[in-house]
Amino acid sequence: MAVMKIGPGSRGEGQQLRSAGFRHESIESRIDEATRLLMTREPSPEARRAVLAAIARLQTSAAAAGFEVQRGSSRLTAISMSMAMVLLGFVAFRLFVPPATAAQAYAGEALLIQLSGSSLAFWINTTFVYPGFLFIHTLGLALVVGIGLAVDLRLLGVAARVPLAALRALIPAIWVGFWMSVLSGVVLFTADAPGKGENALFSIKLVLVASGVIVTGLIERHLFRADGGMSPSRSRTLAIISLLLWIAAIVAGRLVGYAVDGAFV
Amino acid sequence: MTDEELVQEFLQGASAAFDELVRRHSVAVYRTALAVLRSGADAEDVMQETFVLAFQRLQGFRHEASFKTWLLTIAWRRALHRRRSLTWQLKELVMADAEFPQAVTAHPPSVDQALIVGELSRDVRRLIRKLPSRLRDPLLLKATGHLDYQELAEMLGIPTGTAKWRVSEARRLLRLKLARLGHY
Repeated sequence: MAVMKIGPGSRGEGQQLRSAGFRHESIESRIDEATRLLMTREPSPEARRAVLAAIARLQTSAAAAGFEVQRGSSRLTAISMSMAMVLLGFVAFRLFVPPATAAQAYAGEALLIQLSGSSLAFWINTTFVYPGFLFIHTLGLALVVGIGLAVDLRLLGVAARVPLAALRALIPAIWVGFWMSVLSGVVLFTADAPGKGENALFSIKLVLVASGVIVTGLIERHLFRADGGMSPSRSRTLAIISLLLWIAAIVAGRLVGYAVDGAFV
Repeated sequence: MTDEELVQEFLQGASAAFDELVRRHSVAVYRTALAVLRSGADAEDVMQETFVLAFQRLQGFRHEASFKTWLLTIAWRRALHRRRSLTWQLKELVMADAEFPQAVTAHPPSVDQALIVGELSRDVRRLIRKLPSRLRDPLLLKATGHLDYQELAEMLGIPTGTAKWRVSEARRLLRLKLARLGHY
């Protein structure tokens, strides 16, 4: 309440100040009461029972499966992210560290030609191996991008009723798909090493895929932390980046087959 | 038993201990979510998500804060996540003029409380909705009665002084706007 001064002509002012003080207290207590009333709701009995039932189901399935709470990222995630970083480093080296001499440049190109002329490459190109590994490569891509996009969309609020924790069970399939793509990709690269090796779009595709894997690993590593996960804004940002990377990777991957000597045919 | 003792019992295999934690903290979790989402149904969904997550992550609980603060932080983040979802924002746009739902208390309101639920209360509810979220959320979270300023600050990841300032600034803005509406 305001301090009042006693002096000539101040009685009226003093009364106003006292009234203002009273009204200030009154409005404050009304704000308090109104705010408290807003927040005195309680959950319905059905909602409480639903929580206990959900916990009971988790306890049952945990006991049945020998379930253990996992923290953070799995070993598979760490290995996949490491591989992606190696890939990024390799492409960055090729793009930004030019051969010191013409002989080195020639040697690089010769290696690619030698690889594609090897009996291994001949066997890949002339048997069912190439289409078989192309199928595995495509399937791996479908797992990585399909599940990755589902997680990203969920993080952006689509199908918000699906618990995020339920999606965690799908994350290992992303890494399985990634390794399917990597290993089959090595075989496919061998079959046409010069065509892929000198193709800028191929390098771009590798960068996009590797970046997508790293972002997906970050999402998995931080989203399922014990303290409730990363902040909503960070998870949304990572989801948008992941979405854009995977879409760009698909487009680049599709265009690789149509780009010859820097032009589309 | 304290929360920490119940957590220890649960980690040693007593599953009923977690049920007791749910019973103890369901109201606080619900009200935390309600402060952010302003919808009872959404708050109940987040309450369930929170306890499921807490159950799954309890082994990773590092005791850096109290169990209650840890649990309410999960609720707070899940509620924020839902609030930032596209579907929630679309719902907000559609229901732009909706106010907070009428408070439903476990016990019938007293005569004094009934008098309060009048025009002033409606104006307060409407003005609270229009406050910026960084002021509104701390004001409502404090009003749940389950958090002191230190716990509130820990949950929001801000200094205690900042938490106090935001609550008092929210109240100051409410007083100012109420005065403009003729409530003195």
